[in-house]
Amino acid sequence: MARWVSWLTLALFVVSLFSGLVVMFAYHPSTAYESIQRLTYLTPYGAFFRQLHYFSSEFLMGMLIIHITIELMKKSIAMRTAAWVYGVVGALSVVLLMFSGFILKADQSANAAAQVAFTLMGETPLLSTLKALIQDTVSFYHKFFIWHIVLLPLLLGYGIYRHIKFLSPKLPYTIIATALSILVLLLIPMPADIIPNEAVKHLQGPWFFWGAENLLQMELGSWMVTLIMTIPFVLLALIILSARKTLLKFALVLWTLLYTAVSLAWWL
Amino acid sequence: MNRKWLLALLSLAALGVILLGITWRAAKPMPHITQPDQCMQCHSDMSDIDHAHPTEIFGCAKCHGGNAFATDKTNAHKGIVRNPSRLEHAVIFCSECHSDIIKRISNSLMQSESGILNVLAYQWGESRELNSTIGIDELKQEFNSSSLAQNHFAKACAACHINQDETVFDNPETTRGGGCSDCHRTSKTKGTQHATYTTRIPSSNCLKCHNRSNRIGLSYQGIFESEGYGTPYKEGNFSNQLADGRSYYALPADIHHAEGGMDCIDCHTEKGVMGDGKKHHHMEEAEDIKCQDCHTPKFAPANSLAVTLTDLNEKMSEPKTIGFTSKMNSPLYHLRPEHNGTTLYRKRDGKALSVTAMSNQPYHSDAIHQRLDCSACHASWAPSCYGCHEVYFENGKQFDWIQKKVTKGEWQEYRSFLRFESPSLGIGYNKKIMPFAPGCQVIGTLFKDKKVEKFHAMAMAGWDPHTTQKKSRTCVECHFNPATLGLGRGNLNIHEGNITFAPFFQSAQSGMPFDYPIDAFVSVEGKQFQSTSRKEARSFNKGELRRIVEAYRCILCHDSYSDPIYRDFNHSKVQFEKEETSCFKN
Repeated sequence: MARWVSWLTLALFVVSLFSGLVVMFAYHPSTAYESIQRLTYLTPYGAFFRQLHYFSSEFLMGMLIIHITIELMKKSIAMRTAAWVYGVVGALSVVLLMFSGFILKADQSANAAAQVAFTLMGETPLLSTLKALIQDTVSFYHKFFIWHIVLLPLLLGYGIYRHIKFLSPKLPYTIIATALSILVLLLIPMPADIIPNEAVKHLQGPWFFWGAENLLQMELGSWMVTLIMTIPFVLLALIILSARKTLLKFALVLWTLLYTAVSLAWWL
Repeated sequence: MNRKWLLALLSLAALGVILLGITWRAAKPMPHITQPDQCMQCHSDMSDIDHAHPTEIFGCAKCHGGNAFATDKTNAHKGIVRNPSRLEHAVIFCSECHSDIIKRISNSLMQSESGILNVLAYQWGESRELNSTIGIDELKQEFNSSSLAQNHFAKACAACHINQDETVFDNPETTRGGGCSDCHRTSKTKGTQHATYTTRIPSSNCLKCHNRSNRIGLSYQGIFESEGYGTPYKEGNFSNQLADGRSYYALPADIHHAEGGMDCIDCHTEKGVMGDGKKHHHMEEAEDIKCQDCHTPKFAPANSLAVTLTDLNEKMSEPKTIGFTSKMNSPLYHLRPEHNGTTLYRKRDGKALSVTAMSNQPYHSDAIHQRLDCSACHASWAPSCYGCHEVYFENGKQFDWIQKKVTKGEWQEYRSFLRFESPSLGIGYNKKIMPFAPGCQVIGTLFKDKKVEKFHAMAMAGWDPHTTQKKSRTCVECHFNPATLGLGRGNLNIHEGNITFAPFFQSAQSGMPFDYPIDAFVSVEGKQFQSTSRKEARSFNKGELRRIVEAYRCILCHDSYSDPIYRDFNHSKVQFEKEETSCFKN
């Protein structure tokens, strides 16, 4: 089971990467929203590849969580410290890739999410100095685009390579990953873009940031929210280093439960 | 079955799904791409709104929003707006080209109505501030329900403003608002015929609002709202009725309308109407045009704005030398020096009208009349609505034009009487002598839960009534008509240097809560009875009244400016004081 999940996770990364390559050529950061809409509605197979990229990425995130859960449930971790930590770096890269991808669709929710991210960074010590790495006053999407198509994929690829010593997926798993993504895109509609002037009551970022949004609405300080968001990655990295693994695992489970509850608070 | 076989089977099934998925996608027809947006897939036959915004260039989504790329109705119509010219939409859809105008009109008095609101609050004693810029947008944010002035404004005045929601009106004839559409729209959308827009604003669009209060729009056309009798009958029906049922008398129209057929926009510039971006307190601060701008014009080479406006107008040739307003230097692109004179091209149709230059005759050049505004002599009549009885029922209900729903409190309005002849004169907002009329004389009765309260706020206001005639009012009309002097209607006498006045109207006997005649602005002693809404505005003082009336002694014999004494009036005056004139010979 654990091996199946690992192979499928890697395969989903490859499907997401290749479908993203197709989308990349149709994307123009200077006319981000227009190019995404043109791709979706007018480019032959544009919607197909956009949805494939979206669903394979969402599955990747889901499989990554399952993969981490399975590995944490094992009694002992049969992995070198460095390889484990690179795995955590890879997991962080996936989250950042998902977030930058959400921003790049350039609709109302993307703009709102970017503003929230800028505010969080701007008001958090240390991170505020890094804000210039993603914020571009000339063209909003250029830097996000570079991060999404070059820097973060390289970081993820490097993380995976140092994590498992190879990058090539097995063909059967790749076929299954592709089929899974296609099956879902045929059955489930992708969330609609919120066009710039559309009146909506509530704008939301990507689902894994709902908790952060709600914490901000609870008027928790920006730096505190940023700190909370980094906790799972710090805990994951510490698990391999610490002798008190059970305690750290418990803390991670607790964090997950609380964050899920806060994330769903808006719906309740 | 071992794992390898299971994986192989799963892979085979997955391959089937992939092939099926791609084939399914391929089976869907390729979208037929249209220009400039995909709205044209369904709306290619929609007509243009004007020649500056052709559909084949702009498409639909540029102005109306929605998804310009979507090829299905549901996605294409998401976020669409019906009337993008409403200011809150215009700032999103039109700012790329018209940001300057949107900012200006958003700050203008026709949008904020702050002039009306603040004068009302000042006259009703709720504010000591005459220069506030609080307007409709501020009331939408914070409404003071205990303020009678704000309550009255919301119920009776706020229907008219540029960005009023046009959907709240039941009757299409009285619909106002809609943002830019309020003035610029000339027809509504019908099927594939898009609503049409123009810079040649028809006066009828201005009259949607400018037909009440000082009634400038009506007066300009020679329409004087009468007492409501509607007689004489014509063919069994009331004669002379406006679309809203008000009766009127047909009086001499303004010469610019009667002889030139000119519309409001032939005088009023785009900056004067849409504002210059500043939040002004009163109309005269925002107003740009003066009579002199056309009748003693300044000409200069046309600027880029003049060329743009001429191009949008479509009815006249490219401008080279044009007139400019003296106040804001706005181009009067339709005013041009031609044939040794001045020609004004009517914006509606480009018809050439010859403009009469202001003469240098004594009646214009004499120092004694330098304080006169053009309207003091040339406005032949003014609608004067005396005694505005405002009755408030606290437990009644009435439509609130700000909250756009029926709310508690109802106002009913009645008047004492209407007059048009011999408008009063006084010192206006520009410190010049100009016509005055009631504005407003409020006698309020407030029916509250278990008590009745009363108040009165009597005020006169000076304005140009837009009833200009070439022939001015006569000397006697100004120098010995008590109504013109602001004394009210009655008998004026001058005997052995004493001026006496016996008014016709007795307020106390009519149950009014004040003892001066309702049509009196001032007493013969120069005591001002009624307030004004400008710091500079006032009635004549005692000295001025005496000087005006005493001139009547000369006017009795010398009642025309062609009389020789006016050739050099100062010299004549010196001769008179030395008793060397023929006046003393008998």
